[in-house]
Amino acid sequence: MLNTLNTAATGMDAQSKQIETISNNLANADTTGFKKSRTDFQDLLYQNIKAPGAATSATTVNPTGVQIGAGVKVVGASRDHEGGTLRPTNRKLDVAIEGLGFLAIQKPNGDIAYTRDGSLRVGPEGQLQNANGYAVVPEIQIPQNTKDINISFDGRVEVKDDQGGATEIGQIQLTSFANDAGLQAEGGNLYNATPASGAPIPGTPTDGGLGRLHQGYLEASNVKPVTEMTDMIRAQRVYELNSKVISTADQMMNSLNSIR
Amino acid sequence: MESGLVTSLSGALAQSRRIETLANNVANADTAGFKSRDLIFEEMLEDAKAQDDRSDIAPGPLRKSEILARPATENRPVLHGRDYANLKQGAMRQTSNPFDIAIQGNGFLEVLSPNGIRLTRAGNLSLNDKGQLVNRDGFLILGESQANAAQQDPSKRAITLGRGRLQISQEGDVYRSINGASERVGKLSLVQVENPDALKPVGNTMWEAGEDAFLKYPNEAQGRGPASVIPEEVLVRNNPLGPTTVKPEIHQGMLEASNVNPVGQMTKLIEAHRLYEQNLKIMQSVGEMTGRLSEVGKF
Repeated sequence: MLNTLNTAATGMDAQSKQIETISNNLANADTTGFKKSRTDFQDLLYQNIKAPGAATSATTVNPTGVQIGAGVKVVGASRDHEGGTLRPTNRKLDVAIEGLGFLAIQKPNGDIAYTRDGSLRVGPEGQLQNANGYAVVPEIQIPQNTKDINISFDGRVEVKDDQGGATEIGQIQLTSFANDAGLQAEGGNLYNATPASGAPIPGTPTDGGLGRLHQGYLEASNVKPVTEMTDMIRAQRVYELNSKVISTADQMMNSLNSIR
Repeated sequence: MESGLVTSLSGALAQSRRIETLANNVANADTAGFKSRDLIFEEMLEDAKAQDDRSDIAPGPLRKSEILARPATENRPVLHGRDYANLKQGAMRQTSNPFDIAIQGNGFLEVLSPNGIRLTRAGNLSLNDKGQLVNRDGFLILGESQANAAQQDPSKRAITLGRGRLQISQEGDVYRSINGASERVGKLSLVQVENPDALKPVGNTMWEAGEDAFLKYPNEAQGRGPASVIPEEVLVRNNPLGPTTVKPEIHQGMLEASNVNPVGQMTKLIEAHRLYEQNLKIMQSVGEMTGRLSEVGKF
């Protein structure tokens, strides 16, 4: 019965982890480029009380044996990189990525991080930056006398000066990974490459599934509040079921202790 | 009276084992691809100390129908139960994630674990850094083997998606789709299990298939003798996933939820709890009776 307590405790623990993930999803339901996570579970190892195939007589064997499980574990919170809906903002420096790619950003410490959040800015020295002021990689310089900026589907950045002359000043690149779900979220809408994600594969937008850029749009989060709410209800109920098992085991031990 | 104590002790132990199993089910009430388990005890099925006549019983796995018909040989303690997985199909839950697949019908995915090939119904797939399909532990999901390759290295059967969107057909064909153009990259290997009792749970929502799992009954091969007395319809009825003659279907964007039924688990929990208490009560009575007996003659 002590096992029962542990087993039910793993169930409660797993469900509280799920509630944490859900609450983070809901808190970011309106965060640009946010990707929802989901908690995945697996059963734990089984204890062989009686091995299957053990002899039950000279000629027969036990077909199934008795194996008792030890509960559940959280095997990962996997991020779902399904695209969010594109929301029009009519801001010239908002770009949404329709496809699998990420924008590469250089952090102040020189490391490269990746983001789906395309709300860009022009920095004090004219370089294209993300909302935190980290430069977009490869670097793009916006000239001083710029009147208008055009970003094409395939990432070419074109500026118009006050005389109306158009110049192409750079190319926004996108990066993809063999396994998006293996990226490590850093906060600030940024992701880092990990051994699980595979090495970053840079490319030009529209190239091989990397996706097109949409100027004047932002990608909304892909959180679906209704799904999150139903998941939350389920997690809470399963949590309660497990607590019922604990109280039953407690009562049983109470009876056992009062037997004499 | 001693035997009364032992009998009720074994009953109480059996019920506490059963509660452990139920606790494991409830803990996994939200684990994708999990199948609930239960214990059945021999005392419910057999008359203790019945005649010893098992000449008509074939060696090998027993079906439930067979257990019922089987004459018992000895007075076994109640603890010697057997546990079995309830392989009934779990509910289909829509997730809209292309890396989630649910299997409908009799079919298992093959997973290459470090200890060999294991079977699973958990369809929450992922990719590794090489772009190969893996399960949540990072173990390879295997594709169908080539026609001539019984000895083929299982790691050669990985399905590599690479860059692009994942599409999986109802038959398990895997496609990579880039800008609307699809390219077939492999086919998921779906294993059908004839005898669910021969699946051993190893954790991580995987099963190890015993050698009897794929036996086609009736089958005189492998010297299993009169196993063929079990009629086909009994086997079909006893295989909760459905007959192996029906091909399983894959549904992308869905997950097969755990098939743990909370109502059933709670009623079983109450039942086991009460049986446990009753056994304790009997132990207590026996204890009191023994106590009283020792009082006799003390005047």
